[in-house]
Amino acid sequence: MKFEPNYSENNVNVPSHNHFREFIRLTLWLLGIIFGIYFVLGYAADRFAERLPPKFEAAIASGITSRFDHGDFPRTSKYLQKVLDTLVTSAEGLPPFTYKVSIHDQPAVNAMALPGGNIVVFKGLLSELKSENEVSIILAHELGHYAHRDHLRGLGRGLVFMSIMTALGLSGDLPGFIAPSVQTFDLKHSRDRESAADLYAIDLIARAYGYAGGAIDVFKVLARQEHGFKRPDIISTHPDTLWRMQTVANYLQQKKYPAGSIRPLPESGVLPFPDDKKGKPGVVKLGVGPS
Amino acid sequence: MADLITWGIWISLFVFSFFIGTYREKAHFKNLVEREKTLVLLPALTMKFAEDRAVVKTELVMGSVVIGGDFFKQVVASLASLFGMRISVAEAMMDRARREAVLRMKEKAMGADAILNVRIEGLKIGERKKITGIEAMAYGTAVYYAK
Repeated sequence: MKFEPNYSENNVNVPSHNHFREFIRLTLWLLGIIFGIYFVLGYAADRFAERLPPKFEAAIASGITSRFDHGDFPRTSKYLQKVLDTLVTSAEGLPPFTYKVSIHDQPAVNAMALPGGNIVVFKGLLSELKSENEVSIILAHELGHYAHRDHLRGLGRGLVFMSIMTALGLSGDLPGFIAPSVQTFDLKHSRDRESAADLYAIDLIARAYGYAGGAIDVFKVLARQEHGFKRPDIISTHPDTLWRMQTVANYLQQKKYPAGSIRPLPESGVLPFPDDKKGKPGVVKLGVGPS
Repeated sequence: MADLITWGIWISLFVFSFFIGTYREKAHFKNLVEREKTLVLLPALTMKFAEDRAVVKTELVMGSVVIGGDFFKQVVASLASLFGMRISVAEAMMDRARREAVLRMKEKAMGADAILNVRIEGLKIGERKKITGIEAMAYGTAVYYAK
């Protein structure tokens, strides 16, 4: 047998050298599947959340809310609770919870609707509010989330989202970039819900007080906060504040609610009330309120 | 903000490793073709007996190589493994490794008339699903015939 040297450059073992195209193709596949699962499960979670009995919700709520329930600022909390109770008595379509408001000692300008009727207002937001109208708008906005069952919807979607990410995490070191893109999509959802809660809040305070003045002022507070730290619209949970102000203004005009008077805050006119902190030992607060 | 940083690091690592990896792979394939052409006259066969000639000397020769799987390839491979598709990035890596191993074996056997009973083995390096690298080893018997 004779050996005949013969060389061919044709490589049958590596049909394609275009790995980038391969990557794009696989990524599109994966994203399609993830979005599919997310759509279906997210939809199911939403529907389920809407039917979740309040008793069951209150049971699961305790685990989440205990983190925020410190009982700081007792007198301020009492005042907020009074405003909240006024709103709740005139509210429509609220699930039957005992609505409670607590203050979280954080500089963030934010408020949250936690499961089980527990509203948390951050101290940063509180200290920006100048009138009772503004306080009631904030609380009514959060009540709007309860009326639309948004707080649970977020919970359901969050759970679906986490499950998908966990499943992906287990199957190799998969792209960190998939997570943000799905989240961005969900924020759009959240944006529509914020806007719906705004309009609910307007209706509610108009019913509770007979007028809807001061609504726009809250958004001015938010706009001031965003100044200097403006995130692009697409990655912001709450819609562009100007757009929100415009929507609310249009709604006020359309409904022809009277502007009414501005109800001042009680006591010294600042929130939280001065000297209202259950002092942690060693922490001395200076410059709070007029001396 | 922390998300953006993680994002940025991930993307830049990914893009960086794609370009470096592609460049290295192309260069290696070019190099393989050149060396294969020069060594084509030394047959490496899987048969145990090739020519009916007197053998004066035999010798075990082997060549082995480890090729690292870069970040880009790992990501694409893990994506492909989700769907049970052909992992073309790994195909290219394995091909490079096998051919390099055979070439190193041949270079080890310079002066021999043939390498017989050649076997090629492959091995993945890396924990669980990770492809840190792959090893390929080729070994055979170098045969020197009587002149």
